[in-house]
Amino acid sequence: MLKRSMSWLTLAVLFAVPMLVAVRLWAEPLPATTAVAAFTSAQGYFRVTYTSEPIVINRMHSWQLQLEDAEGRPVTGAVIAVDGGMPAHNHGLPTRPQVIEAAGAGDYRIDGLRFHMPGNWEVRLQITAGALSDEVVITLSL
Amino acid sequence: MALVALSVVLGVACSGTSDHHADVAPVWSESEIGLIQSLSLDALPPPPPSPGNAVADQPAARQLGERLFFDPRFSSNGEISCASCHQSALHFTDGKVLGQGVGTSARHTMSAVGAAYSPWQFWDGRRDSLWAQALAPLEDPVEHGGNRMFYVRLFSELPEYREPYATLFGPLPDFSDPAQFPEHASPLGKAEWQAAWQEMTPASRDRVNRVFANMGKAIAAYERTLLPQRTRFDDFARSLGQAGSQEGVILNPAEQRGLRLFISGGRCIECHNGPLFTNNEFHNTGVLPPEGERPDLGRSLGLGQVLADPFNCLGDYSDAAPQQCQELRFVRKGMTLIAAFRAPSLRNAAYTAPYMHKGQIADLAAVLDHYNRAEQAAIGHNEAEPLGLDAAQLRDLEAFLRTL
Repeated sequence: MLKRSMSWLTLAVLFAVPMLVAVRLWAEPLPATTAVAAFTSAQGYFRVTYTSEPIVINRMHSWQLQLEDAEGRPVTGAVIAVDGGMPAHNHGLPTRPQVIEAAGAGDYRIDGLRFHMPGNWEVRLQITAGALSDEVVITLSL
Repeated sequence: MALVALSVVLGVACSGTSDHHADVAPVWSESEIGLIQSLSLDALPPPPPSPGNAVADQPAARQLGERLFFDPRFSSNGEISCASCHQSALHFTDGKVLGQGVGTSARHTMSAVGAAYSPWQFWDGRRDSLWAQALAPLEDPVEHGGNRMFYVRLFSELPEYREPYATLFGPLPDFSDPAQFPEHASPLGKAEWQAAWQEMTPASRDRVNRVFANMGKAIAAYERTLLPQRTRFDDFARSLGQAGSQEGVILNPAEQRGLRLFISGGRCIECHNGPLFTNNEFHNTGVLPPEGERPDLGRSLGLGQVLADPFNCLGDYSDAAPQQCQELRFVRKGMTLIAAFRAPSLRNAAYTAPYMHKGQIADLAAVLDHYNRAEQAAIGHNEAEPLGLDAAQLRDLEAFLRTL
């Protein structure tokens, strides 16, 4: 059931609202809403959905990731490296985030994310699972 | 139709880069109001937790720390306290080009106001908490100039410190046996202090370090209370969008135009964001070394120092669990740290000249000129790009900075 509702949510995000990212510049308390967005890898091998609390500038936080293959099946045991930055500013992330696999099938978590400026950001995930390797570029506007 | 045409003309006159030509204030959009209010003290939460410092928010620690902060006995010449460089009358700065302790510091003094919000301390982030920061000047040969053995013994002999310390941390060890605890000793500083430190047993050194760390934790508890005062800017931000708003009275048109530049074409908000007007991150903005000096490597050296600091979040004297030390766990490395320095808060900027890590820029007009030109860095890569602002726009930006 959880899986079904997740897929439904992913579709809604893909077709209705390409990117829902609630952004606040450092204010308390955090609202209960979450940001969810899905991205397909460059060669189409993977699809990643990330879920985050509303992103607050300058605050260290984590994202939940759901990793699927091209057929929508969860991908377990993947190795995911994180990079990123602000392309227009020619600088990278202020931290060195790391991904660990979480409990559910296809679930991962990125820890150590922080965005220190408003503007357009990229988070690039280099995903390796079995013989497949591909990059997902998550874009967000803060 | 005529009304539409008129509103278009007014819209042009009141927005973008042309609005400094007439003495008019900007008309603010919803998104601009959101950005402006994100800079207001109304949006400032309490200081973030300090997991490494169990007494960070205890009033007794704050009182003990305040006494220490102003006590010049904790220096090699009995004349230098934290307050020598962090003067309350000067917004906890010193108004000097370089810090002056028992000698002259290599860097300009940063304000202690709002420092509790930063994950990194000093211009180069060589400490990762206020309590670890507070210990470094005590042993810096040109700041307080002393050593930890001398400080903890002095501290333990003064009744005004002994009792509150015992309440907070437990009884002070007995440092009176000179066989165990020499007069002066430290892993830093003079060769004879370092030699004496090496001769002490690990248990004795640990006892000294523990008390020394707790002195820092008390000072940090006091420094956490040093917060910026509301200014006209905060009143302006609060008034925006309110019925019967007095915003045009609170900030004059030039100040408001400067604010618009600050959050848009001037690109200042990219690094100077949030209610403290800083992201506390490290940036190379091409600030040149003073005449005749070699470039300061900044964060690229500070990173190695904070990772090696025995008083960091992961160290033996920290009260944090390792997973709470997120800044150290996810710290960034690499070439972009060369000659990068922490963005300072712009709160009280008009009253805290001179500027930059060496105090090498004398006034706000010269700072703005520096960013407007954004010339090549002496080493590393200048992140900033030329802004192309004209003289009137730079004056407006300065007028705005003076409202903070």
